[in-house]
Amino acid sequence: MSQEPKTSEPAVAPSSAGLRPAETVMKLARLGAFHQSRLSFMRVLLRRLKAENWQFRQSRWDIDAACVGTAVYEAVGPKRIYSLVVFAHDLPDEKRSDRVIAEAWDATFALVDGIATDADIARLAANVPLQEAGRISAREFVLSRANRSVRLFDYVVTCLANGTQPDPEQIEPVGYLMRTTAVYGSGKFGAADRDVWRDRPEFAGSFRPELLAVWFIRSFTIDIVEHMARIASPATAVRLDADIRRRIGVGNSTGLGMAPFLINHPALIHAWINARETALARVRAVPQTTADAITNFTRLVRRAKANADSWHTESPLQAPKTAALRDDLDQLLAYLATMSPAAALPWDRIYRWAETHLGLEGQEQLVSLLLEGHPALVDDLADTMAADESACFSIDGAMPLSALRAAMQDRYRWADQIDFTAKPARARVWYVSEEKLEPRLGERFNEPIEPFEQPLAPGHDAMKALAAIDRWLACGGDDHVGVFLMKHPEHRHIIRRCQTVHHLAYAEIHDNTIAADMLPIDLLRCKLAFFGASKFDPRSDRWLRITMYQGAPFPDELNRLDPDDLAYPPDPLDSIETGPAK
Amino acid sequence: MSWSLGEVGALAVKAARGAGMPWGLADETGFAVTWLQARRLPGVTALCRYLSRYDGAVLPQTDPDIACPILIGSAYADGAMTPDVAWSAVDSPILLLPFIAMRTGSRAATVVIGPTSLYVYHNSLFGPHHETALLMDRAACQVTAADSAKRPIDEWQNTCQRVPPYMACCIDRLGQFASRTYAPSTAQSRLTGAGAGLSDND
Repeated sequence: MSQEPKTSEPAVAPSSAGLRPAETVMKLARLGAFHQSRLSFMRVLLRRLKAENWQFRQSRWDIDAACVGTAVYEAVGPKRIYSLVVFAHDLPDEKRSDRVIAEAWDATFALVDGIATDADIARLAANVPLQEAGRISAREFVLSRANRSVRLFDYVVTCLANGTQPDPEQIEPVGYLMRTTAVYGSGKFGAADRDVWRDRPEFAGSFRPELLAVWFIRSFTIDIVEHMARIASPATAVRLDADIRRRIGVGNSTGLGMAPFLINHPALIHAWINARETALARVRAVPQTTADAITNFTRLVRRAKANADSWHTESPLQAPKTAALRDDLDQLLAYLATMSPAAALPWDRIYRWAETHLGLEGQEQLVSLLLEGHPALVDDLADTMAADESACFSIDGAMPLSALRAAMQDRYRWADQIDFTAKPARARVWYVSEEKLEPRLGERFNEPIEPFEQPLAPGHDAMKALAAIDRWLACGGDDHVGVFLMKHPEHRHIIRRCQTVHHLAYAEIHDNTIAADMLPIDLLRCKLAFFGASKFDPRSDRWLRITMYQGAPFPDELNRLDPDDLAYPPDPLDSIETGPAK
Repeated sequence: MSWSLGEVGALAVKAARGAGMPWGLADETGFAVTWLQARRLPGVTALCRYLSRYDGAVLPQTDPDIACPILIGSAYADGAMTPDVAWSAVDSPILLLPFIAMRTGSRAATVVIGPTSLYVYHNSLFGPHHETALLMDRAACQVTAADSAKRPIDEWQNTCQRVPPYMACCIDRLGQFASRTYAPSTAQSRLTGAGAGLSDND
């Protein structure tokens, strides 16, 4: 039973007619336009921590004048304690790299189950700074590392040392003091398997331990700049102003390593998207609203516009989209000004208007905003955003091949439209490089990489399996999946997938993931929006930077601030009406 | 140092693939190794021995006289054969057990592997507590219906979350098989990796 705050708005059953079809939702271009929402994992996590009155403390700060040492942060909940153990390092500038092939970082981290003892810390000190080259244990849930922002870190230290606050205009475009370059969980490098903690209520859902660790990392980035300022000038140093501090999140550089995730976890992706789409359908089914609700919604749109206005990117891929988003939000504000609150199905009406007037960025931002104002219709769906993937593993060998064939033709109709004999349709190969085991995307016809191809092209593989099934049946082969697979194990992977996605509308991306013009950042953006990232800054077509927790409360203010109310910047009209801040 | 079941399962998938198995059977291999290790049975060792024996061949091996435990095991789990079945020779037969357990469900079954008789019921395995005795290179195997009221006391329960340190040697060997799935780096692949060619230092 969720203890999250609810409004008095009546629950409305989802209208099946209101669920957007997978053919609309599961296109890469649309997934690549998703925005954070109140179902995003960071926000769900903070809501729960607040509702359960978790307490937080920095239990160790053994950091020296050279900023080398150890710190520990503890989260104390109703039943359990978790500790983030931090190792701060003195990293020469020339060794600072966000790429997974880096071997040293400004800070390294492990999230420990329980209180970290001295013995734990000694053990972790020998391993965590090595990251992938070290080993952690079943006591640890997360392994991570971060690097300083060259643009902002030294600037903020200098300001604080001089007794002044950094300029918010300098803070906002960057949004973080440190960037995580990997956050590993779920059994990686010796960490506890997900099965160890999956039934803990605080970690129900996806990526909760990882995001708890990142939230604590954010606190460390503040503590370390304030520490450095004190070291530099004990007499004049000041702490960061709380309002400026809150505009600092944690950066993250995300590359191709994350891209295959959305393809490799179809049941989980269905659960994520289905929750979001169900929430949208519930809101669209609300029969009527009030003038106040429209006013509040308009205010929310202005706040989203403020977020878009402060979203800086030089990416030729993203910059035009962000500019279009700003235009879209202006159009939406104009439309809302003309809208009668008495209209039937008001939210559905707004959504339908957006479908024909706004671009994908604007439409998907609108979806997030529609969810924002309806916590009573939305928040319970967060509990559905997980999947027992082991339940999808077994293959139904008794299923008639002809029935499987029909199901595949239905589910992969989109793939049947693609001519896979054309080179551009097969131009890419997903593979894992020998160097640091980094997932990469290569050119099939220019590089000798095809033998190393990962099975990340479901549309292509489904069409190939369908052709093999047709040949088998034409030759009088047995009409059972199990018998076919015993003779053709090369199709086992895709047929397992087909049986999984057959009943899950949003499990499959309806695009060719090995096409010459496929953009991996669309996959990354979708996943990061579900995490709760608020700004996306692609650095190429295959990696991007984001900011996490920007605007969110810090541990020492969670009990008095509403994290959901801080998910967007303040309404610009408020500062106009009340004058400049004192 | 111990390993999580998740990382060993992922390693088993890559090792099987590196040894030539199609991805779908490699997935089954990961399942089988994880299932056994979760019950303190030597799945890692069994897979290491199986893959090493056929090093250089393309798996699943197609010797008509010696069945591949992954190929016939997954076919059995799929229901592609009758519940009562016998094979004259199965390679690394311990790897068959997870698949029999997967299909058995609430139907109790007796599994005879060479000289050893085991009892499978509700996805659990009961038998004499000498797990290394199951590490046979090959043996005749038979699955028959059993009386669920007569299950033995000893049970290998699904309670183990880690793969123990003494399996390091086999883990290393599986890592060698897994490395065959990694493409050697080239100048071009480095240029097309995420983040390549751009300053990531801001």
